[in-house]
Amino acid sequence: MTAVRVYVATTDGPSEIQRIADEDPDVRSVVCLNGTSEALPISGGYDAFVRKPTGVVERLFGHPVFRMDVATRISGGHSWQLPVYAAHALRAAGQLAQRGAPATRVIWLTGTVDSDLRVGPVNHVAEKLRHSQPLFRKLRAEGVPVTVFVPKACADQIPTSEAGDGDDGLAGVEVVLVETAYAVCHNLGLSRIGHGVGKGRPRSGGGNRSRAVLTALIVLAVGMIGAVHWRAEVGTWLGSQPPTENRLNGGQTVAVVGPPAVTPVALGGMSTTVPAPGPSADSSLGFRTPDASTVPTTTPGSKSSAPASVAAVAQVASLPDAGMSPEAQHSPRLAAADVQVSAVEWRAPGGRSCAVAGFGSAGPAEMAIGTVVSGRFAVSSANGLCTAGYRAVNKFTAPVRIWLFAAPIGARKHFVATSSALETHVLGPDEATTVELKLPRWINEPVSHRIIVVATAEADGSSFGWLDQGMAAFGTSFDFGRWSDLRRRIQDNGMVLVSAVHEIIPQ
Amino acid sequence: MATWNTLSDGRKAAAGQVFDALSTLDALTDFSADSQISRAVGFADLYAYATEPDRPMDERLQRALASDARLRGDLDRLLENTALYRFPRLAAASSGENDRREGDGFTIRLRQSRAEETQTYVIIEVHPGKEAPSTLFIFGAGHPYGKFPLPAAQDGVIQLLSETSSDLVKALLDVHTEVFIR
Repeated sequence: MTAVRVYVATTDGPSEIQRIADEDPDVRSVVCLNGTSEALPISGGYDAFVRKPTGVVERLFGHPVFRMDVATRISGGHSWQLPVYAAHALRAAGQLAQRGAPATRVIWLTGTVDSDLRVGPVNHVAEKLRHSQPLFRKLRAEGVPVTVFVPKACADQIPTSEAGDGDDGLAGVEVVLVETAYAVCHNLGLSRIGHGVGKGRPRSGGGNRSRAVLTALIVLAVGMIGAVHWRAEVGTWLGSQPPTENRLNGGQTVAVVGPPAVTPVALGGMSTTVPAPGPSADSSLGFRTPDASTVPTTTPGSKSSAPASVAAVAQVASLPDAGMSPEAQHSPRLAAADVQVSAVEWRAPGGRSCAVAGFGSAGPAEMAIGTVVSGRFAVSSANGLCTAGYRAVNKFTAPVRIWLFAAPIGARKHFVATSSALETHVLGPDEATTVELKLPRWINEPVSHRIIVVATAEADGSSFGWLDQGMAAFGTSFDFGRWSDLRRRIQDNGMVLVSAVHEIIPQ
Repeated sequence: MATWNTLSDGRKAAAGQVFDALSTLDALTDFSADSQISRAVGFADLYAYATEPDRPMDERLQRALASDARLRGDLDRLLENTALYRFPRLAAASSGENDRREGDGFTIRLRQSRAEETQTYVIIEVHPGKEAPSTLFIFGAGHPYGKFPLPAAQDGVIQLLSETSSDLVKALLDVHTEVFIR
């Protein structure tokens, strides 16, 4: 007997769908936490997903109200729709593994589902996968096969093994990209979707008429399967992928799924089905870069290997085009170019020492170094240089939350010199924030400053505590290992990231 | 006659300050032993409890209400004046329990969960044209001043799920319980 356990992918880790039960039609559908009476905030959305006319579950499975229990909180969004749909389909077929029952297979899903059962894109797929790796490892050790279903539009959010940090969390996991909910059912071997799946739920109406309709549907379904196979063979013969999924997207409600609409290929040790590559998608990073060939990646060795005339490099990532939730697509779109990063320096006037600058009229003179256009700052001479400042200006049309961080790279603590500086503000259009790093009194070897600007147009700042803590944790020295983890999470969250190095050389 | 709900925000604020001042004056001039606890509890505390959905019944307020009849009277009047609707005590039924309360613009129903028999749905129906409440207060002999924040209404329906043995469900079933929603 097949028993499939369903996990809802969340950024806090996978949440098991423990149970789905019919409820009294006189109440609203509800999602509860772990069998308790705590109704989760997505309950309203679940009720709308279930109930006709907006919902799809009642239309397909014939009951208007359900109670669903999940193991851990699902806080919001709509990416739970695809796993919930799959769980209902499995339950109707009597194949949903309930809490505590053994499972012969595990599926992990994320994606929205519209009324035509098309699967829509979601955000944070890479982060959801990463937080599920302990589960994948555990299931792999137990020998339970795992299939991950991801919207086809989110293909560029799936990290490859090259982008990983040596973790084999996705090894052995089958990854399937889908455009329709039908494709999920097809993969699960649920040949029919709708009333009477598995249990043969009785329907009202005349028996003869129902049988006639059913016969017509079967004839139509057989015809479709034949046509699809014929198209597949022709496509193979022509060396091209037959557009079978588009045929299934045609709005028909016949509950028959054709052959797989996607082709499995090997990718970094995991079994993956991938669509044709999208334009400029950088799958190794999981996000898009303005021009990967001209934007070098900063590494710990960049300071020594960079030519003298190129003292600063910058790495710029913008919000990914794909993978945005429908809600996010309606929000103002922040790009890296909307955050202008510049540098200024303060020098002691008249060749005086920085120690006396600030007394009387001998204040330090401010001089602009320039902006991080194409990720480059000009080299600064350490002679007479007291303080370097880095400024971020919001050039966006709406308020932007900005984290501006600067610190010397790998520097020992020097007398007077600033260890690190961090400013976090919500800046209105054309507003700026600045951090300053005081230089050591004596500089006899090059000093490099790392400048990081992270920005988001999201108004709600309550979900960025991890970034506040991550930035503040750098403290007295810039740690590349820690930064690598933080950078990945910043990118996973689709935030704008500008990272630069400013070199100051003794002369 | 003007009621609390017909007052403007400015007049409500002014009234709040006046009550606060009077409450403070009462506390300063009342030297009875029973008022020692409630002396620190003023109208502002009562008003915050009655009007702020997330303001809990803290121990200080609880003790003050338990020991000061006048304070309880103040809170009763405040709830009555600020509530969207007050469901009075029901006429006693033979069982002493009732799973439905009908009011002007609002209905409260209790429905046992079919999926989890130890749990009960509390359903508040908000009739068209009525403002959706954010807080439910219950007031009865066994459950003085219970306060429950309500989730947002969906298509005119607010639904809570609670253990059947909870104070909320027991109080709502009790015909002697008064219910305020605001």
